Amino acid sequence: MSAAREFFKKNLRINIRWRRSRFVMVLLGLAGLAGTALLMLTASWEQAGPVVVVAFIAALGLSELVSNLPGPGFKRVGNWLNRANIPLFILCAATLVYEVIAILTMPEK
Amino acid sequence: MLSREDLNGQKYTGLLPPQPYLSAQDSDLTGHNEPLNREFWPAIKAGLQKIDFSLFLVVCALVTWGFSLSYIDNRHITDYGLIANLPAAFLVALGLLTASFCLLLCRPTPPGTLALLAHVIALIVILHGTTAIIYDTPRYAWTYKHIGVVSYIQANGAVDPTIDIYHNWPGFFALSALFTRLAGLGSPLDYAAWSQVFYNLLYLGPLLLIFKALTRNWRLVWLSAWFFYTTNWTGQDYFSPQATAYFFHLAFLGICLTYFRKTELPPVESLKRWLIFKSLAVRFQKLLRWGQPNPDELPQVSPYREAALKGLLFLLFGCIVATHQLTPYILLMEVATLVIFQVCRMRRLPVLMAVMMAAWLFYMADPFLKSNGLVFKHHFLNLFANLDSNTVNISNATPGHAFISLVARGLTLLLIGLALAGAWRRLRRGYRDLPVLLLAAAPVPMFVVQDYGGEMIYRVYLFALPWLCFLAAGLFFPGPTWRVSLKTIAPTVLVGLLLAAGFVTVYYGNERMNNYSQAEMTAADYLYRTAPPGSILVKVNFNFPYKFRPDYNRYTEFAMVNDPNEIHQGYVITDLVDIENLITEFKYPAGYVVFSRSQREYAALSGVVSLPWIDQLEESLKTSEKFVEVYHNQDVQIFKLVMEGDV
Repeated sequence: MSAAREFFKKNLRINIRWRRSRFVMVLLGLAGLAGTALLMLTASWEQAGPVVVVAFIAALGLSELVSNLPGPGFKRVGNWLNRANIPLFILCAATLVYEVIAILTMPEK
Repeated sequence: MLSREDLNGQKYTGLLPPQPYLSAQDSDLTGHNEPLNREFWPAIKAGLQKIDFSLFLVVCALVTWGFSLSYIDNRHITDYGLIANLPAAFLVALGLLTASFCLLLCRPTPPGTLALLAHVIALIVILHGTTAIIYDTPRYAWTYKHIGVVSYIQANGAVDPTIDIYHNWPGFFALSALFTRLAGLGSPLDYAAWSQVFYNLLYLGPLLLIFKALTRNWRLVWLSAWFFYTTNWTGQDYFSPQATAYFFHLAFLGICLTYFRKTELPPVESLKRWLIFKSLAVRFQKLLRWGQPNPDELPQVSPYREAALKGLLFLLFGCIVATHQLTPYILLMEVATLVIFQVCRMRRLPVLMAVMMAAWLFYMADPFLKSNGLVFKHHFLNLFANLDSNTVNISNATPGHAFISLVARGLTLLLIGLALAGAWRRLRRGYRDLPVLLLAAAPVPMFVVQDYGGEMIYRVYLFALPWLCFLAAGLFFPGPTWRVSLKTIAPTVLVGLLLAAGFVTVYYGNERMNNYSQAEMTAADYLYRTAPPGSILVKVNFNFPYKFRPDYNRYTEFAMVNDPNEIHQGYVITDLVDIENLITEFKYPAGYVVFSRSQREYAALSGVVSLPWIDQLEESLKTSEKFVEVYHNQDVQIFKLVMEGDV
């Protein structure tokens, strides 16, 4: 019985950790969508667009650079960068879609 | 003065001890019964034995080639290109070098790297250094446009993205301006003629890195490099952004394939996450397992060095993005292919590359995109239209031009045939080159995207070339164990000679219009120095050294055979009245009309306008009172419209 209880407790802990990480990812995704909505409402694609894109490139590049470096410090930095990549990816994708639509709907010269 | 002692304790001050006179009695006293200088000969003999005999053949080939240069007539080139003017000595030199290299590969033990390197470098010098030495000026009209952009940056210290497309992708031009300044030179005209030699030497390092990442068979590595240089007839290695971007592209792939290969295949569950269906994931994993059975031992790097290499990759791609429009897209497709097929383990790299490309296109190249963005939609996703605009209609071409086109097609088909046969032969030996096949096929979808001004076929061929050459070389040396026999030596030599001959035929096939005389350069320089800013410069076609001065943006260039990117599209010139109307209607402060030898050569080759029509137009300008001849030399005539206020 105690072995079964131990087994159940251990799986619940893993289950909670997994659920927590997924919950954080969903929150970050929602933050990205909220940022996109804000850009649409304020029509500030031209001003915020370059900042978003550069930030995403920097975050993605840095997270790739530190991904294999040893040490807890690099691991922590890598985790935070990976989290930041989620909303930045959504914002960047929205910005680039906006730019593509702008080009395709440009009047013929 | 320092003094030394010889064997007898006698002091001397020279470099060598004085030669003693040895009689029979002396030899008994000194114990030496041979002259001392005989000790030098064994040392010299031992040194000579260390030098590979093939290096002597390389020197012979270079000397023969050098001897042949003075017999090449570059002033009277026919439709068949420069090969019709090459003396036999040139072909003998090339043949000697090719045969020597192939025989070097057929040795049972690897020769020294120096011998192999010497052959390849000699090949580059012979193939690409010939025109740099015998021509007065750099080849290709586009070279001068690029020189103009570099000169603009030298003069102004910055770019102006509103001028033209080059200022929106200024990486190569800025780098050239920096190099020109550091070298203390006045203009890239001083070194642009040697660009082909420079870039081809530059490509050698990354090519060897790539081929060594694909195989440990030294014969295959070096023969692949040799085939690359004898089949790269596309002519994209001149002073240009694409040549620079191509070097970065090769270096990028070399680093990816050497240091970032995946050593273990992912499990089916991992593949199922993006393939969705389990049966598909299982089949895909089987394909991967079949295609990449036993990757060779990869170099181990420390995590910090790996991070530095990743940083280098990002830097290289950043340079590519800032240098050329097309190369980033093709490289992205190649890297994405490597990641999807589990060859490269940097899964986020394609995403990063795509965002970097998009960022440059939408923000740094914004001025160009806003004024020319719709050019990207030209023949977008229209495969047949793109293929049609990329192929020469040989029924309209001159016999020589048609011959060159046929040889080019034949050479390409030969290479593809050799590559397929090589892939099959290696497959039978147990070598499955799935990554190589994928990389060879990766650029092909670009045909669907756009025609790139009719040049997409050449670019696709260029980017597929290293992989095709690797597979083609695999036909002759499929594996490391290999026996020397006439049956294996003879085909290697024959194919090597055939490819070299084909290369020279095609690469220099259009030299009639690609080379410019010093007289034309002098005339062009006069024109840009004397024409007032804002003038329109009318030519028959754009085969003339133009736009090479730093103030090139102040002039309007117009060709009677319209370039689609230039101004006044659709304006048709039939006689001098049309020229006069063009100049006056658009209120140019001055108008010049330029006739040159190179324009006539292009007209004769392309057949778009006839030579009698050009002669008639020039004659009418000479006799007209409204135009005055302001300059002429043996190759160029320049006329100016007489305006009010002209003296």
